[in-house]
Amino acid sequence: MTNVWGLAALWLGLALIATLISIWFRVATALSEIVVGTVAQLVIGAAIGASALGTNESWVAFLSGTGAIVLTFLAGAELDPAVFKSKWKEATTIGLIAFVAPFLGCAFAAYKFLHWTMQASLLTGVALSTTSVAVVYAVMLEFGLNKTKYGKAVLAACFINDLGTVIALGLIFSPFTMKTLVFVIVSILVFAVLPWLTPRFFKHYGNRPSELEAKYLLLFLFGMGALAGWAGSEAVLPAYLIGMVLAGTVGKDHILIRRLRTLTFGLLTPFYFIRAGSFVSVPALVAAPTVFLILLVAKMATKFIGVYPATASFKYPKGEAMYTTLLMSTGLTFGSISALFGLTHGVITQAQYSYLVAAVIGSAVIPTLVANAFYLPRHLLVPHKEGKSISEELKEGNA
Amino acid sequence: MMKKMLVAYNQSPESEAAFNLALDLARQYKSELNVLSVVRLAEPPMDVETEAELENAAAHYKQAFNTLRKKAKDAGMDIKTLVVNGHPVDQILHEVEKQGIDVLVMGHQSRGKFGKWFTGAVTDRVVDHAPCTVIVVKRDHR
Repeated sequence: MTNVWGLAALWLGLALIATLISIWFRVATALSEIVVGTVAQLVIGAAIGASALGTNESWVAFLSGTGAIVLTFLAGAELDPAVFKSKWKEATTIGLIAFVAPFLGCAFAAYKFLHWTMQASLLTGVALSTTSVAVVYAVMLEFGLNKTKYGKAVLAACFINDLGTVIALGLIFSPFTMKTLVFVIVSILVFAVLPWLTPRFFKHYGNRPSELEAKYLLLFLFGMGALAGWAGSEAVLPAYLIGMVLAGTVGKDHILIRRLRTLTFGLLTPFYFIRAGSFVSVPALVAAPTVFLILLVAKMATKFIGVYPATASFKYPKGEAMYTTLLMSTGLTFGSISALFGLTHGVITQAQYSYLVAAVIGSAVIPTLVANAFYLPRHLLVPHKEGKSISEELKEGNA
Repeated sequence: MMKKMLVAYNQSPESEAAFNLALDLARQYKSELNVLSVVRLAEPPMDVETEAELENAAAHYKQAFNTLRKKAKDAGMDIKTLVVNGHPVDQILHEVEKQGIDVLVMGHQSRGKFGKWFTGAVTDRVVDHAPCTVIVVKRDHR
């Protein structure tokens, strides 16, 4: 056991360093955890040995996998069902385009230009098809658009986009057998029953120090994850869907969500993101940086081709439509989950995984760095019609 | 004319000094005093983490504003408070424009070159682009 505690202390030490870096540089904790994982593997691996971090220890893999499952569940639970119901047509259209365009485009780029296998190319398409709901939400808040019809439709579209990603990840790489059918039928039943059962169960037995709610949710997440694994699928698929179907009930219980976040950020996700980072091969990235660039450009270009016409169709001003389109090009959580799935299931090699994770991080970080380095609030300084700022025009035009 | 004043407040010692000076001026000139705090999320915003940050910030500033309100009340003043999310420069200038602010008061935070590049030199940019008078208060202002 001494080894286990020692290793656990090492991982939590790395998590603490990553958190401090995220506070000092104001970067997302997940991003700093991935980078710390990569550097730690490089340094500790060179100094002590490649297995020193113990990334393949079963308990490390368990905590890491649980982190991905609970994080995905929480991401799904952030959906606003009322908004989705009122905007489902627009959301589905934009969301599907935002998923399909980069999925096909990036898979094509990997297959045609990088000569990767068909499976690896499809995995590339899945990993680069995501959109970060958080980035879009933050921008919507900034422009005050989160309460407008436009903002709500785009936010709901992001969930559809990510749903497309997890469904593709869960089904493309699994063999279509009887097991798949059983998985799909049981999933439909569970997703239909949970929104009815959960609030009633919590009302009777919940709200006690024994944390029944967390145990109940973890039971379903692990149970459905096991079923997904048995069918050759991926555990994050049911986790995201459980989050979405419980968004109207569990998702609105802020105290419960806060407790789950404590468990997730305090213990689980550090293991997930540091482990994801530790698999990145820096030598592979240095040896062929053009691969990373091709993937990054493919992602940005296909998102642009797919999303820009859709956002423009909402009569959104040109500059802001462009901004929104670019921001829809980022997605760290589902991008890294997809890449790690590919690596652990032998769909992609470690070098391909490294390029994919670098492209996912690049598409999340580069627009931010550019904006910070060269940012000027031009949209507020340039006079617009009747002396209004663009943000005010947007609010009026789309409210 | 100093009808409406705005303090950019982030709980730093510099912004505390800015608030104290603004309170003093607002009392003397009988101005309306507004306090603005900008929540700058970690970048790039992440699923789940962003929502947690926003909730945390709202609770944090609610407490901080209560302290400021008490201080203002002791000085016989009333203040209006607001928390927004986004790039500080953008949001400060937006509020100045939206509220028709006459004087903006903010603290001066010196950062190294790297810090300025990475997090942006907020004071410099606001001073450059604000359509109103800006008072930049040093940390040790008495």
